[in-house]
Amino acid sequence: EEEVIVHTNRQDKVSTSEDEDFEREFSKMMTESLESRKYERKPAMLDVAIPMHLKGTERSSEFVDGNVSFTLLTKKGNKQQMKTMEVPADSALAVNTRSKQEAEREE
Amino acid sequence: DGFQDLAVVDKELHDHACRYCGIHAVSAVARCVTCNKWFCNSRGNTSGSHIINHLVRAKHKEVALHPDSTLGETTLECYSCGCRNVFLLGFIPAKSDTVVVLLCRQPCAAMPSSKDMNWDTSQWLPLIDDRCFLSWLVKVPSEQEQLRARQITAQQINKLEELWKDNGDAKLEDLDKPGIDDEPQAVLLRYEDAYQYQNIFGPLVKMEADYDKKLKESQTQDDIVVRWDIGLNQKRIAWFYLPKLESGEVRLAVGDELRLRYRGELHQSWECVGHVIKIPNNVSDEVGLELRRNDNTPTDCTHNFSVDFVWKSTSFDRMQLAMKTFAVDETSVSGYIYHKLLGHEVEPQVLRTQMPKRFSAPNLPELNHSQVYAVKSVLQKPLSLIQGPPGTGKTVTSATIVYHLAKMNSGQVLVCAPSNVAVDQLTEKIHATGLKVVRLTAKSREALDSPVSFLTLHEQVHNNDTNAELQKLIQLKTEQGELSSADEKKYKMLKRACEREILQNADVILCTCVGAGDPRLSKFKFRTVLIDEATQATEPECMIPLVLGCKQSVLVGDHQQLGPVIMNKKAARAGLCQSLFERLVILGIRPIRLQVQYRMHPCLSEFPSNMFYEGSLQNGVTTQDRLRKNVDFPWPAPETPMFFHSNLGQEEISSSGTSYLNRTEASNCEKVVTKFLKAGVLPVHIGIITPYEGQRSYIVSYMQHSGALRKEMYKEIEVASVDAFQGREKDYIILSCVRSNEHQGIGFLNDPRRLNVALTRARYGVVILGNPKVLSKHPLWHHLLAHYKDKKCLVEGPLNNLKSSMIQFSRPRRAYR
Ligand SMILES: [Zn+2]
Ligand SMILES: [Zn+2]
Ligand SMILES: [Zn+2]
Repeated sequence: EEEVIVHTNRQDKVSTSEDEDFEREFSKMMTESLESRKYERKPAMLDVAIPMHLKGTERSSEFVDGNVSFTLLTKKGNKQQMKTMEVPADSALAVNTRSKQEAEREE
Repeated sequence: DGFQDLAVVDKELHDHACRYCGIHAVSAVARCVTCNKWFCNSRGNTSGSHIINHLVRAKHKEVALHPDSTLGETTLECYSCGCRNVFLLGFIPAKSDTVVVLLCRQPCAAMPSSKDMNWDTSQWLPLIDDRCFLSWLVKVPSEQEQLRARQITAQQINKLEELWKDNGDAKLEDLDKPGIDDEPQAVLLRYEDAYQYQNIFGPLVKMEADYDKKLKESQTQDDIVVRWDIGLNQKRIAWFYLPKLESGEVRLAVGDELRLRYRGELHQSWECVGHVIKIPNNVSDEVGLELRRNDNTPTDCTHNFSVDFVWKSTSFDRMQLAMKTFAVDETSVSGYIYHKLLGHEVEPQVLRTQMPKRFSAPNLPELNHSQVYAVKSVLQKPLSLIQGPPGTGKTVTSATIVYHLAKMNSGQVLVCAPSNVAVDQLTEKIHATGLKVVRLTAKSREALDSPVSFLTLHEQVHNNDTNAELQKLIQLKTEQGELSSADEKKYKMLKRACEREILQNADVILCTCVGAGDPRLSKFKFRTVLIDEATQATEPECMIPLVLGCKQSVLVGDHQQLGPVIMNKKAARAGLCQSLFERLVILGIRPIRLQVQYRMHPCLSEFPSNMFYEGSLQNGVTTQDRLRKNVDFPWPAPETPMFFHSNLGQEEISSSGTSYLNRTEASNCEKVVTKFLKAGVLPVHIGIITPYEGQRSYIVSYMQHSGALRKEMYKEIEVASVDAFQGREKDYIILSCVRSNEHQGIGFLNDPRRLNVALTRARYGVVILGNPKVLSKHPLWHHLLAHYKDKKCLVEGPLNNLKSSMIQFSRPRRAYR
């Protein structure tokens, strides 16, 4: 687990003051964004319906090139839209969903 | 996969090519909605991806995907509330289906998941991870493709973004055009004359002033909610929260001016300037603003207020004036000091003075050997430097020197430091010796209470009983608020005369370096000047007290601790961040070093002594003095109260979404604190140092919400940056390093002087939380880790079962020094 990682020159760059500057600005951006929403009122409940035809499908186990297909719900105006999104099978999102589905099947 | 083979030849032909590097694969780029420029999701040579670099530097926040990408034309936004700030957005998955939706972190994803809900908000996953968009949302171009693209450095990105502020169509090539990259002339080691000195420092001070002005004036904050109050002096006080402060963008100090405005429907438009009387602290985050006027204040309104920062040029004006005086007025400093400051070779000079028989001063601690040596050597020298490493009794030494200088010379000794805190500390000590002391403060700080309030000039005027007429007018003014114009004129005249008399009768006058430019001192000549914390002042700042006729000067500081803070990068690069003290050291003036430290357990001083003071620090306290047998704490080596706890808590994929904070470290920090508290250590004796504002506020709120003990216990624990702890000490210090990331450097921790300050604050024990793997890449930290390992103090595991860590260090990148 603790083996030495070999870096190429590119990754092993020495951080510059510009980098540090950027990181600081990035942190600020994050904090400020969050701060700006501190007093935003919470919605009473999350009202996001999952379209019937997507419910309970077993498509999650289908792997294509190490990816899992997810459906991304978006909105255009007031209309719900569905988009297919390929998520790497080893990403936290895919792993979590898979383990949850497996757990459910065992129940 | 059409992405692999794209050549980046006609990069300018593609509208959607990354404006930095030219990569234009549709699935690897995204559009900034605010300025309509495209950027790719590769890091290139920087620590964040190009699109993130742009958003951060331009302060843009909204992004859309390419119409031909797999997701098609999509503007990223919260499904529930429509928020488009990508720094707040993340995915949450459905509980049982492979369906996801984008939600903002606050407030939409902050709702707890209920049983009957389809969505699992606890699984919120930020779109931006490790300063890069999730690769399955916007592809990361292959290594090969990145290498074929235009190579752009972080510095070039910076400049390009600057250019875009004036001209949105500017291209990378434009950076090579003349005039774009004019760096100011850098500071020198030696100067021909004071005119050259002024010609080099003048523009740097102006740059810093302009930058400061721009920054302050761009900081207007709307939607302020005000709570009204009346102070003891009958003035209106507005209390409110200023979120901008938390982000660290602006610093606010007591005495600063703010303008409060009302633009609502319940009252006519109103505005008023006031000065800050309280800034956020551990007790409350509120800012207190005392208003200048009391009339027509909309005290029945609470909402729809805005706050502007009022910029004042005073300190910069005084620096410029000091440099001018230095150049044109031969009596501003003695010939010897003039040439020494400019770096000229001068025959050594000895001042003819009667040396005191005893070197310790009344009511101050007895001096040790190296302190006596320091006092002795400076009294007869026209210009000397004293280096005071942490805990070596710098203030007592300075106060003792001032005592002797005042006894030996006629006229007042001027004592300055860049910060008010340091000036107050010195005031207290010098007052204790029995000298007549006057503390001069800025007008805006007069209302502030401090332990030395009774020594301030305005209080002494107030309390004087020699002039009955002045007393009568003061009383009248306090009762009525104002005087008739004739009386006001009289009052001003009498007050000025009284001030002059008090100042003339003083042995010592104390103020900040900038305060030395106060008009109330303009008629005075100060032959003898001592500047404390001289390594934290810029050169022009140090000049202000020096050009008042100086013939003998003592600068006290430590160039191995933090230097002056310069906001403007160009001015800093040109050398404005180098103190006069430091330049004089480089010029060959050897500082007299105080060598006995009384603060730290000897094991804590060992590394800093070896690394920063050539091993010269001696311990004035013993191991026994600094061991607390009754404090039950699991130090891995009981006689050595320190450890480095290996925290491999890598990147967060949980709902935090902000890699600048480190949850593992925060939670371990709470455990360490709780252990100390349970062992009976008082909260005020514990300090937590962390270099990042994000981690600071996270630790504070984490301890409040998840602390094992009563909330009040954690409230009194100071959590702050290294800089805020300079010059101070605590019994126990916990250092949370935060950085745990393959792609970036270690940020602030890179500066050896900052590390020195962080390591030398504690008296009884130090706990460092950090990732040895990442930190060991930096040579200095590599040494530190090796030191902790040698001492069997590099550990891992839970606090009740700490084990030696066998972790392999990384190879350091380049040799230190
Ligand atoms: Zn933009
Ligand atoms: Zn790019
Ligand atoms: Zn939302």
